[in-house]
Amino acid sequence: MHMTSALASDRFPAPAGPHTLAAAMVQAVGSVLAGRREQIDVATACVLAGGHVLAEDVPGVGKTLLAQTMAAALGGSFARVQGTADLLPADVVGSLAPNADGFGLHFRPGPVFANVVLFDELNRANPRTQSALLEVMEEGRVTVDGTTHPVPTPFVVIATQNPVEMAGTYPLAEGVTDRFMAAISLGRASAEEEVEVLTGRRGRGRLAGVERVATLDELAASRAHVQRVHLADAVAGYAVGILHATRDHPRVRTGASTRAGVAMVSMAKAFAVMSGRDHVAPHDVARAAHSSLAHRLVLVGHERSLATEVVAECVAAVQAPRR
Amino acid sequence: MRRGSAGATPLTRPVGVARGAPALGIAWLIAAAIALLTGASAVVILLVVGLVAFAAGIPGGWLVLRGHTVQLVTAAELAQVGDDLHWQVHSSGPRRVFAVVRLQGEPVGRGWLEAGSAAAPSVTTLHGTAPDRGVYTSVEVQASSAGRLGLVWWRRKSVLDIQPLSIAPTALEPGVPVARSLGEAPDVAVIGGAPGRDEIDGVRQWREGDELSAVHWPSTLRSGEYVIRQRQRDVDLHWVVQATAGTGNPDHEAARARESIERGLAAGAAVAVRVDDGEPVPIRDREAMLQWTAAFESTTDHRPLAPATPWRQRSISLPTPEPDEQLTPGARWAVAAATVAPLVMMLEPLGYGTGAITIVVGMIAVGAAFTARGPDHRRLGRQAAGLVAAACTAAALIDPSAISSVATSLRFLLPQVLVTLVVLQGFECTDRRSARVSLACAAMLIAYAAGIRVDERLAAWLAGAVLMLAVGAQAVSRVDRRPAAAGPAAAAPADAGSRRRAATGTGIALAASVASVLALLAVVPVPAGPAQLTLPTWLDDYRPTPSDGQLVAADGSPLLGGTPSGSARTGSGSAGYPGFTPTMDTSLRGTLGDEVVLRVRAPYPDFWRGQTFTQFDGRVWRVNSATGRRTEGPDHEVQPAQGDVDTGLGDPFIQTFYAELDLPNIVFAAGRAQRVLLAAPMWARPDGALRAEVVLPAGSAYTVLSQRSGATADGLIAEGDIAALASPAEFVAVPDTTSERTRSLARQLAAGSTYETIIGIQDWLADNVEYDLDAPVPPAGADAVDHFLFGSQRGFCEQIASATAIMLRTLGVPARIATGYVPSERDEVAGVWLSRARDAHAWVEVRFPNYGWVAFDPTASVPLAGEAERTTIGGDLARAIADAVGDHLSLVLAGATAAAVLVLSVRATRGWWRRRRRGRWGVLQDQFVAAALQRGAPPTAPNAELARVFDRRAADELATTLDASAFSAGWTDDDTAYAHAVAALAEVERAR
Repeated sequence: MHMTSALASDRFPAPAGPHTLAAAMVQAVGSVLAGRREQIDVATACVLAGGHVLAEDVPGVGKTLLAQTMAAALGGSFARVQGTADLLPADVVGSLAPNADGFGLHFRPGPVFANVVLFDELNRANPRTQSALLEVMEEGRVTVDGTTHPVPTPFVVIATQNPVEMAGTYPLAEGVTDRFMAAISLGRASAEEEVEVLTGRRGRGRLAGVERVATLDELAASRAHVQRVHLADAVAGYAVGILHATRDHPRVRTGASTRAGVAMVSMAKAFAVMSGRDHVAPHDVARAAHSSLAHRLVLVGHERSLATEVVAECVAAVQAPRR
Repeated sequence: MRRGSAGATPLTRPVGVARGAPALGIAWLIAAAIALLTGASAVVILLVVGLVAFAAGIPGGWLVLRGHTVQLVTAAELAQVGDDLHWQVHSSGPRRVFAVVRLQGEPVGRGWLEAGSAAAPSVTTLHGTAPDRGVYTSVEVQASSAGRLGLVWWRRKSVLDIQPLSIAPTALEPGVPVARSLGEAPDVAVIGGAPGRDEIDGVRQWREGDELSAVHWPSTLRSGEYVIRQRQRDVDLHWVVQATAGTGNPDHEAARARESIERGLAAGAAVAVRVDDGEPVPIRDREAMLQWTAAFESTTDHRPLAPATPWRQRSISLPTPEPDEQLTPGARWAVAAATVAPLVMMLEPLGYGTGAITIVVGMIAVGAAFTARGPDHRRLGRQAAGLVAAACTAAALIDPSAISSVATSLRFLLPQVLVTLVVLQGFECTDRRSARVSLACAAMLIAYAAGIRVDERLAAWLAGAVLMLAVGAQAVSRVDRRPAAAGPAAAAPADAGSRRRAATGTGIALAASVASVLALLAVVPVPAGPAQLTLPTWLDDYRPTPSDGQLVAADGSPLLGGTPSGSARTGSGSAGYPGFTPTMDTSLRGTLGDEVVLRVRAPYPDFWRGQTFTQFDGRVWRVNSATGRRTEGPDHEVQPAQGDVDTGLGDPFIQTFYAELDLPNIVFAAGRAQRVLLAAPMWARPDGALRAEVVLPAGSAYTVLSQRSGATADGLIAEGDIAALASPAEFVAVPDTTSERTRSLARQLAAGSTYETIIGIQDWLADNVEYDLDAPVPPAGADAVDHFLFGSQRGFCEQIASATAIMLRTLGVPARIATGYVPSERDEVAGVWLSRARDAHAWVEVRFPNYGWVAFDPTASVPLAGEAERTTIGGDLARAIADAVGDHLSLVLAGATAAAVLVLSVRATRGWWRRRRRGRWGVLQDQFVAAALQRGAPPTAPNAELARVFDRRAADELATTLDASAFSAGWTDDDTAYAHAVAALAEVERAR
C-alpha cells in the first residue's frame, strides 16, 4: 500500500539562489513531464512557498510522475500512499508496534515521514484518514499516543483526486481542501508532447536522469527567502479585494477564507521569486489567485467545474493597483 | 450554469419624462405667448432653441439604449422569500443606464449599470429581495436611460434565461402531517440517502424508541441526560412528510411542508416527502428541502395578474421613470446661477440699479445655500427664511406709486411679483422636480426679458442666460455619482478612449443642434408685430406739454423753429435737427451725433415720418399751426389725412418705437398711421403728422399700426403722368422765386410717367450734384433750389428733397417734404431697426391717386413699400454674423488665437499638475494604461496583463519596470531606467 524510497542521490547540488533553484527545478520537472508548463510552475511555486499541492485530474495524465519528479529534484525522501476506503489513520501517520524483544511498544513511522508524500486518490480514503493527514499537513508533526513526532522538513504533500469517478468516495471537506495551497489540473499533453512521451524523449523513462537541484538546506533557505519578498500595501490590498470579490460573488456560497489569502500571497511571493523579482507585482497575485482559490470556494450547487471561471471573474472585477 | 442569455431583439420605447420636465414645456408655451404679445425676434429665437434642445433631448436615451446590451445575468440558485438577492449583471453600452431586474413583473433588484464595452463588460451587482415562492427560469431586465439631457426617458426590456432560481417559502406553523417510523424498517427509498455518512460514529440525544444498549454511558454521566451512540448506518428514524396537492393555496401548503421537513432534518431523521399517494421523495439536506418546497406545485404564473386600472382611475401625473429625486449641491448652485442671469437681464431694463439687483442675487444665493444640502435640512428655518427673503425682495422692487394702469402693472408689478416668487421658490428647490421648475421659471423670465429688451446687449445676455440654463438643466439631470450606501461591486473606470468618443459625440450633437437652430430660423420670418395691439406702450416719465398740439421740445419748451438750436440742444437728441420744428430752413442743418435715438421693432425698414411740410417760400418750408383732431388714447384711431388713400391692403404694418433719448412730442410713424398705441392723448394733424400731448422721454415706447402704400415700380409706372390730374393747389404751388431754369430742367427731365420723371430727376441729381453736409449757404434773397441746382451743386437731403419737390410741382405733380428718421442698421437678435441722430432725414412724398403719399429718396436705402421683402430671422442672423466677422476680422483672429493659447496653456497646466501629482513614472503609467486600453485590454488588469495586448518584449519590460517602481521596496528613481522606459513606451505606442 505504501512504499518509501530514497531517490535522491548525494551528488553535489546545483549552486543557487532561490531564483536559479526554481528555474532548475522547473527545468528538471519539464524534462520528464511533457508540456504543462504553467502547472509545473504552480507546483514549483507551491514547494517554494512551503505549501501542499492538490492535483485533480483523470488518471494517466502524469500526476504521480509529477510528484515523483519533484521528489527526485528536491532530493529528499519520497513516499507514496494509495487512498482506499479501509485505509486507517495509523496506516498513514504510523503506529505503535511491539518491540522486537516483545516488551513495550515503539513508534513505527508511517509513510508521511518523507520529504515528498504522494497521496494518490485522497478522496477514496475515509474522512478519518483524511483528517489524520490534515493534521500532519498543518502542524508538520504526528501525535501518536501522546508523543509528538515531527516529520522531516521540507515536507510536501502532493495529493491527487479523480474528479470524474466519484462513486464510493468521500468528497474532501472544505477544511481539507483549504489545507492545500494550490490545486492544479494537469490536463492532457498536446499531440506533440504525447509523441515525445511515446518515443521516450519524455516521460517516466527520464525520471532516473533527474538530478537533485538543491540540498534540503538550500531549499529551506529559499523558502525563507520567499517569505521575505516585499509585499507592498497596495498589492496586499489587491489580494484582499480579490478575497472580498469571491465572498460577494452570487454563485459562491462560502468565499475564500483568510487562510486562502495567506496561501495566495505566499504563492504570489514564490512567483515573484521565480521571475527574479524582489517584490510581489499585482499579476503575481492574480496568477496565484487562479491556482490557490478555485479549490477552496464552495459554490451554490457544488459545481466544482465552475470554480476557475468564478475566480477569473472575481480577479477581473477588482482593479489592479498600478503606479 | 446559471447565466442568462439574451433573447430576441427587445423593443425600445419612451416611458415618460423626467420629474418637473413638463414645467419646461409650460415655460415654452408661455414664451410663445410672449412672442405673440410682443412680436420680439429674440423670443422667437429662444423658442426655436428650446424646440431644438427638446428635440435633441428626445433620442438621447434611445441612442444610449440602442448601444446597450445586457449580456448575462447571474444569480444564486436558491433563496427563500424575503432573502437578499444579488444579481450580477454583465452589460455593455456607451453610457450608464438604470436597470431594474424583474421576476414575473416583481422588481427584485435595481441600480445603475456602468458603461462598458463588449470586450470588457461592466459587471454590476444589483441587490433586491426575493419575491414570491416559485421556480423562475427567466428574468426581465428593464434598462432605462434619458441620454445626456435627461428629460425623456426610454426603456428597453430584455428577457434573459437564467438557470432555474428556486425561491422557497418561509416555514409556517403548524406543519403538515408526518408519518414517523423507527428502526431497521422502512422504506428503502428513504434510507438510501446520506452517502458517506455510514461509518461515522457520533453521539446524539436520546429519542423515543432508542435501545438501552445504545446509550453512551460516559457522556450520559457527564451531561446528566441520555446520550445515544449513533451509527449513521442504522438511521433509526424516518419521517415521511405528507403534503397535499390541489389545496388551492400551494404557497401555504409548501410553507407548512417546509416546517415539517425542517423539523425532521433538525431531528436528524431521514426525511422524505410524499405528495398525496405518490412515491416519497427523499430530502437529504436543507438545500434539497428548499428546492422541493420552491418547486411544489410551482407554476411561476400562478399569481393572478392585477386587473388593469380603468383610465379614469389612473393617476393623472405623468410617469417619472427617473430613479431618484436627489439633487447634488453642485446642481443646486448651477440652478441658482441659471436663475440669476435672467433676473438681472430683466431687472436692468426695468430701471433697477445695482442695489436692487444685488438684493435679488443675494436672496437667490441664500436660498441656494439653504437648500443645497437636501430636503430635510432645517426645514422650518428654511421656510421662514424663504418668506423673509421674498418679503425683502418685494419691498426692494415694488413701488406701488408707479402702478397706474394695466399697462404699467405689466412693467411695474408683474415682473416684480415674478422675481419675488422665484426667490421664494429658491427656498423650496430641494429636489430635481423643483430644480426643473426653477429652470422653467428662469426660461420664462428669459423670454420675458427678451420681449421687453431691445438694446444691443440683448444678444450677449441671451447667449449667457441660455448657456446658464443649459448648464443648469444638464447639472440637474446628471446622475449622482456620490457613492451610494451599497456600491456596485465593480465599476470599470471609463477609459480615455471612450471618454474621447463621448466628447466627440457631444460635439457632433451640439454642432447638429446649432445647425438645426439656424436652419429652422432661416425659414422663420421676422415676426410681423405683436398679435394683440395691447402691448407695448409706456411712458417712463409722464410730462404733459403746456400747449395743446403744438410742437414741444424734449425739455418741454415750445419749438418755434427757424434756427437750429445749437449744440446746447443736441444733448436732447433730435431737437438739433431743424426738420422737427414748425419751420425748416433748407439751408441749415444741425450737427448731429452718432447716438441711437430710436429703436423700432418692425418687420421692414421704412421712413419713420415725424412731420410733413407743404408750404415753401423759396428758402423755408413751413407747417401751419393747425393741431388737428385730439384723441384721448391710449388706443388712438387715426383718421385719413389730406391725400391719404385707403389702399385696402389688409396686412397691417406694426411698428413699436422705443425712444432711446428724450424726444419732442412728435409721434413717428411709417406710411399712413391708422392706429397708435400711446399712453397719452394725441393730436392728429390734417397733414398726417402726429403729436403727443406729452414729451416722449427716453425709455418711452409706443406702437403704431400703419397701412402701407403697397407701391411697386411697375404699379407706379402704370399710374402714368399724374400731372394731368387735378390736384389741390397747395401741393402744386411753387414759390415766386422759382427760376425758369429750374422749370425748364424739370420739363427736360419729364418722362412718360410720373414715376419715371422722379427717377429721372434723381438720376440727374446723382450725376450733377455732390452730397455734402457742409453745403454753402445761399446768398441772401436767392432761391435756395436754384442756388443748389445751378450754383453750388452741393447739398444734403433737405436740398435734394426740396429741389425734387419743387421741380415736380412745376410739372403739376402733387409733392411735399417729409422729415423723420430712416433706419440705418438692424439689431438682428432684438429684431429692431436702429436710427441714430445723424439718421434724421428729409425726403419727398408724391401723391399717387391709387397709392396715396409715396416716399422717394435717392440717398436712403429704403425700398418702395410694395417691394420690401420680409426677411427671416435666420437670414438676418447669418448676415449679421458674417458682417460682424468681416468687420472685426482681426478681433476674430485675435480671439481664436487667444482661445488656442488658452487651450494650450490649460493643457500645459494640466500636464504640469498631473506630472506634479503623479510623478514622472505615474505619467508614464497613465500613458501606458491609455495605450493598452485603446487596444482593448481589460480595464482592471494588472500591468503585466495590459502589456500582453502589445505582444512585444518592450511592453513586458515596461510593465515590469512600472511595477517595480510602484511596489518594490528597494527601488530608486534612475534617469537611465526612466529614459529606457520612455523609449519602450514610444515603441509600444507606435506598435499597431
